[in-house]
Amino acid sequence: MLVLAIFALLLIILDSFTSWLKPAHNWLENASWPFYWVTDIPVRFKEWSDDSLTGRSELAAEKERLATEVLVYQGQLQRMAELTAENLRLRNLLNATELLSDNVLVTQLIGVSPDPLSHLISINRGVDDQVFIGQPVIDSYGLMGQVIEVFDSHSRVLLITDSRHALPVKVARNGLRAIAEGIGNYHQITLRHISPTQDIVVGDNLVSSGLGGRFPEGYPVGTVTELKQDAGKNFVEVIIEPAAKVDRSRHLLLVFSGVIELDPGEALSGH
Amino acid sequence: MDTNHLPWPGLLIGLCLAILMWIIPVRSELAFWRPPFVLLLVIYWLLREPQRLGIIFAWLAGLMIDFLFGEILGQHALAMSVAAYLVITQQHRVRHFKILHQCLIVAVVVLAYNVVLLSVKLLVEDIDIVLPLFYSVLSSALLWPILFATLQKIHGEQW
Repeated sequence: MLVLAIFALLLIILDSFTSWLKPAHNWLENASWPFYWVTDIPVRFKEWSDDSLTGRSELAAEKERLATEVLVYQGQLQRMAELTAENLRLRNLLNATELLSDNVLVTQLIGVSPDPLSHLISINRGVDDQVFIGQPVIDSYGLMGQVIEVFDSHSRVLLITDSRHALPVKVARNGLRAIAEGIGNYHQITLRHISPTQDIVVGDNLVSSGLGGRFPEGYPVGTVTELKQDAGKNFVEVIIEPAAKVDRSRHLLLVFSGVIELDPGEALSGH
Repeated sequence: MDTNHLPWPGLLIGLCLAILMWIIPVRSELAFWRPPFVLLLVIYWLLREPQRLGIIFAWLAGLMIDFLFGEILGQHALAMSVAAYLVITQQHRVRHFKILHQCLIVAVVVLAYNVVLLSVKLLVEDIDIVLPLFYSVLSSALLWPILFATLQKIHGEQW
């Protein structure tokens, strides 16, 4: 018993304070893929039955709805292209060097960490799809998290609500910078070191600031829902509700950022 | 040690099922209530075959979880071996307890298991110790009679 316990402790210490065991992790965790595959069966079955067991009229109605949606989005995109071009021209005037454009890869959630304390999810893309460590993951509402481990055909994502996660954000209204930290609650994150005199109010939207170079700029992070001011404390406690449906979304997007060269004319025609 | 008569296929299938039950995604509100299925299965086998299975078995089961899903290698192995030690030293008595009494013992073992896991977590990160972390103690105790009866039915009553 003692020998085993000591050996386990040794492993724990080695693994928490050094990265010597990383290769073993990567190699062995590929074996967890079949388990995720099995636990995913009910969801896949549901999706399959949704696809193939719905009536014709329902499908037609949905097609109608989607067509309208696409029309609306395309209308908005037209303005987007013009705005991008204008933005590029203005940046040119300011001698700014580059503008980032993002590509996305659709991915699906296949597993959730069994430990309720760690907000980790597994997604069905890995080395085979050029996923890399630190890659941002978003859902259709906002920023979800970042890839922390990549295996052959799946990878693990640390969510922004995990207590080990922090990301640089700014208030969309006035550009006030801050660090948003997870606290291990799927519905709340907090801001660190906000003094009572700083201009932040309930209802402010926060977007990623792009500082730190890991997350691209401008993705929605959340909305301020509560400001707790305690006279005895130096900082205000800012509670934010994440924009992404962190514990609900199944279809996610992996973001690949690329630099586009400054050429306003091309940007306008390219889109 | 004679391990020839152990129902290895049943045992391994059980372990795989326990792992599946453990990782199947549930609503985030329910996640705290999920009992550590692998530990419950290990407790059952330790009570059933104390002569042939020992702490090494529990340790290996824990290591397997660590390898498959753990963030820190060794944390489940350590917690499992502590839990298994508790079970093994008391198995003479526990085997003859009434089922309700057994539930209490299971609750204590799961509590010890959770405490070890949390202590390891506290080494590397800052977490709040809140009540929900111990919900699984209660759910394990409540689940134990059902699990026990099911496993006895499958593998045959032995004590």
